[in-house]
Amino acid sequence: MKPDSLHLEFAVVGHPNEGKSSVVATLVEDDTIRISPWPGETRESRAYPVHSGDTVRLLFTDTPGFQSPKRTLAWIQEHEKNLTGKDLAGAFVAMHGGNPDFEDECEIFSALSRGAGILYVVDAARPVRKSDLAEMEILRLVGLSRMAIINPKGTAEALEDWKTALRKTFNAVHVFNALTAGFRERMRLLSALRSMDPDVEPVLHPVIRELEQDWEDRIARSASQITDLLYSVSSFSLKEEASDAKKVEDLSRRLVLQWQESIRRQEEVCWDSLRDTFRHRFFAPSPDVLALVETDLLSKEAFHMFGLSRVQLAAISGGAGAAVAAGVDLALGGAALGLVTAAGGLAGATWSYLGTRSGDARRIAGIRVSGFEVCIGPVRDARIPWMVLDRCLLLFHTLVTRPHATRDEEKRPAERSLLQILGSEERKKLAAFFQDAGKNKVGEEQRREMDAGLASVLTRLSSGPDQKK
Amino acid sequence: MTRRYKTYEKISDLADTEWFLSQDAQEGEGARLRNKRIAAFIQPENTDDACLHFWLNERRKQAGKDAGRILAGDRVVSLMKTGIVLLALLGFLAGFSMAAGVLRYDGLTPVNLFHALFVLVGLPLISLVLTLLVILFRNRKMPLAYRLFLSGFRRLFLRVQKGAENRMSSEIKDLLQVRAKNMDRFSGRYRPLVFSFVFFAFQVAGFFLVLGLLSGFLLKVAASDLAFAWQSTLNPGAEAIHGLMTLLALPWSWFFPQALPDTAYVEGSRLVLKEGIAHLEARHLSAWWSFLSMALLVYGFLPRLFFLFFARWRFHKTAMETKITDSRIHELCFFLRRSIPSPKKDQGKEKPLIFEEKISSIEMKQEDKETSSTMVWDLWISDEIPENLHGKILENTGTAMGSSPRSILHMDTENLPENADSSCSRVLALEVFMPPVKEDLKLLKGMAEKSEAPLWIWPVGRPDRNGGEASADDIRIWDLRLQGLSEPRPVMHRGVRHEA
Ligand SMILES: Nc1nc2c(ncn2[C@@H]2O[C@H](COP(=O)(O)OP(=O)(O)O)[C@@H](O)[C@H]2O)c(=O)[nH]1
Ligand SMILES: [Mg+2]
Repeated sequence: MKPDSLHLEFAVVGHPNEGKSSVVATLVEDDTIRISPWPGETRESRAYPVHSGDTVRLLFTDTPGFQSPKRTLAWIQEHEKNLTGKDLAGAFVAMHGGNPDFEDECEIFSALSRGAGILYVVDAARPVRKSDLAEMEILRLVGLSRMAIINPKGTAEALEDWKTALRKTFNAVHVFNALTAGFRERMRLLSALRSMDPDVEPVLHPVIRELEQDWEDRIARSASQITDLLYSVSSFSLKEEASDAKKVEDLSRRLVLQWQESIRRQEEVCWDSLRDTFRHRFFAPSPDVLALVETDLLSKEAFHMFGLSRVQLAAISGGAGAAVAAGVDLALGGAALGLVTAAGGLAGATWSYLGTRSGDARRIAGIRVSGFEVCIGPVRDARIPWMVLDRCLLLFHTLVTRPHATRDEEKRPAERSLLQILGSEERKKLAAFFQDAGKNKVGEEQRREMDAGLASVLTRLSSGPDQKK
Repeated sequence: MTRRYKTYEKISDLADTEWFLSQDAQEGEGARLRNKRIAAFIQPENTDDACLHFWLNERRKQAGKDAGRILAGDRVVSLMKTGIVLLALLGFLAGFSMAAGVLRYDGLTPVNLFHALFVLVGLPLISLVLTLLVILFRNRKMPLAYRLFLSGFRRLFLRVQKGAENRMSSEIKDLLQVRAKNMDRFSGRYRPLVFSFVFFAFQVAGFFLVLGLLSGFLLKVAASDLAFAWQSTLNPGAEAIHGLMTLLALPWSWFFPQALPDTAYVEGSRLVLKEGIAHLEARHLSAWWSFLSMALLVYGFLPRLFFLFFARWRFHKTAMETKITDSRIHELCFFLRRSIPSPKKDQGKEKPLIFEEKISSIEMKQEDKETSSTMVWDLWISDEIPENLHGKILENTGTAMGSSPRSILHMDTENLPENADSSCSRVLALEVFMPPVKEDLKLLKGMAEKSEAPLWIWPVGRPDRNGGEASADDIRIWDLRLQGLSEPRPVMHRGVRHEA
């Protein structure tokens, strides 16, 4: 492996259906990689880049599984005296190219013939078998730098057997569950790659630094997007003049709808950019989550799930205590909605709920009529920005903790409001921010403070949901 | 004496079997019940073939009775027969009209001898040569240009196929593979039969063509006044023509010399158009008919007759050689035999089987040899399966097969047992929790090819889950991959389901 090469390549190899593609998908944050419970889904080797910002730093090559390990081993044993490493792999491809029996092996070896490091993926939930031993022996004889990754599908009962077997061939063995790993686990795996080869260390070290920095940047970006959203939700207002007295009623109804619609759109824009930031392209809510909109909206459980009690809310919203008292039912609604929207794209349902109780909607929006002029917003009900924030946090948390190898629909999100992780100081600051935004007097300084505060909340969220400050 | 198995009977059997098998495959559970009822009437001492025959007849009775429809086999056979009759008719009419067309004499221009020779001898000879070419070159390599064209086409097709496959999910791909294999198998099985039938049909047509020629010719000779004369721009001597004719007449000259024109004849029937035929003798002009009819008989009729019999024999032989021995038949036979009520049921069943002791002794004698209905089979256990599952496997396979195995063998997948007894079916217990790789499939296919009797795969799951029971998903993956192999192939044992 050339230490000065622009990027390092690692080939992820192993038996079919052990989770190679899953490991790659999670590592490179790509949810378009084909993963299937039916074996043979990957047919060709393909290199996937790990980006930091816009530059490619590492390549992970997804390969099909070994289809003829014992025969391949026989060939390798015959030829390893004359050739090693890349050359051996290249010779194998040259010899067997076009042979349908070794189609998949050729795909694997073509990646190895580029000098890629070997990451051997095994599912430690099943016992060790002869074909595994043959595969390990192949990789040993090829002689490229190599590491084993244990990706247990289910409880790994044979973990110790596996470790013993793997240690004979691999100097490093790393456990990495592709379906649960988050950012920390990914970085830990990347750091472990350093032990594969002394040459890798100097290249990998700055790359890991850079990726960590990139991750922080992504969180900061998300925080500032959320601040933007909160600001515009708190300060958004509409004003229009009706042509005559009879039209005033029509106009105000129309404006309420328009106001709801534009807030919904702002939320969606924010969610979409969060999704982009964390590279989730195929993230969709499950019917299970959708069903919540209809059923749980006003139920008792929803009330309990809502993190902020009336007292708390009154405390944090300061002067807005009156508004809190105005409608506990809305708070209930808000809680359930916070739950629902983790899946994203459900804002329409939320607002249509508010819309059905037109009295509420008007009160929330804070509609004012003076003569023929109808004025709506900034939002009068203090709970609205909190709801928006709650939803953003839930979406963020789901996106950050969802490995890119997941192909299932999202499960029911956590049944608690994420506002709970806010410390009291943070709550106060947020409440002040909402109020100032409504009066359009948020200064640069306050804005920056807000971004930083939210970023620290998001950082806490990304490393686990239950870490209260 | 056993009755001779007729060609069309065999074909009708084949067609009906295919038809009923595909029907059963679609129906699933209903078909199993029906087959079980049929099996109840089968005598236990029957062979597999007899079982199948019995099954086929029962199915025919039911299908005919239930639906009142014409059976697939009858339909196919009547279609074939109609085809042959039509071709024969066509051939006869063509021959007759050709003969009638060329043999026309109005008193001024006699029939051109060379034309008559061409139609009566040349055409049959050409068709003979074509027939011979077909026979000789059927299994030869195609011409190079044709092969190049074909391979180019094939490559294009493969590329398109590959592109389409890459977009498919692996499951769909495997399903399509199974379907393609079924089609391959079907066409592979019937291609020789179809060829020999088409060949036979053309021989019939050829024969009737010659028959048409002959009868047209004889009719014209008997019922009209014909005159033959020869002419040529090159103006060869009568000697040359005579020599040619003698050569042609060689086959019959020794027993029928009258049908050989002598030099005087030849000279006497030369026609120079400018001079007309007035000066030619009628005796010489009409004498050619015997020569022509002999030529037609010898060069047209007899070889055609020979080829007709040859094609008929070949058709019969191919039909008799066509056999359906694939895994569907294996499964059906197994099911039928397994469902035959055993006459010594109470005796055999109650006997407790003590497996643990027998496992240590590799060779196991079957206890009651006299029960002929039980199947003889060997159990092979893959050496990767841990010991603690062996007892259970033995028990389960024993229940599924209806008897205990004749012998148990611990099989190392790398070193296949060479001394496989070809008449004895085998059950191979194999771990299926890892997906099958090409290498495994190849090996299993090799094992299945070694013997006539079926190789059953008995799926075994992880030792630490459900007592080694394989998961349904894993079985499905393996089953589909096995079905994607060409015949003869190993068959996934559906053991427990038979007990239902
Ligand atoms: N429970 C569980 N399933 C996994 C894990 N990794 C992969 N899988 C599943 O295993 C199957 C095969 O994974 P895939 O990545 O396509 O395997 P490949 O053939 O080695 O590329 C998929 O259905 C995955 O969802 C894991 O860590 N835990
Ligand atoms: Mg894959």
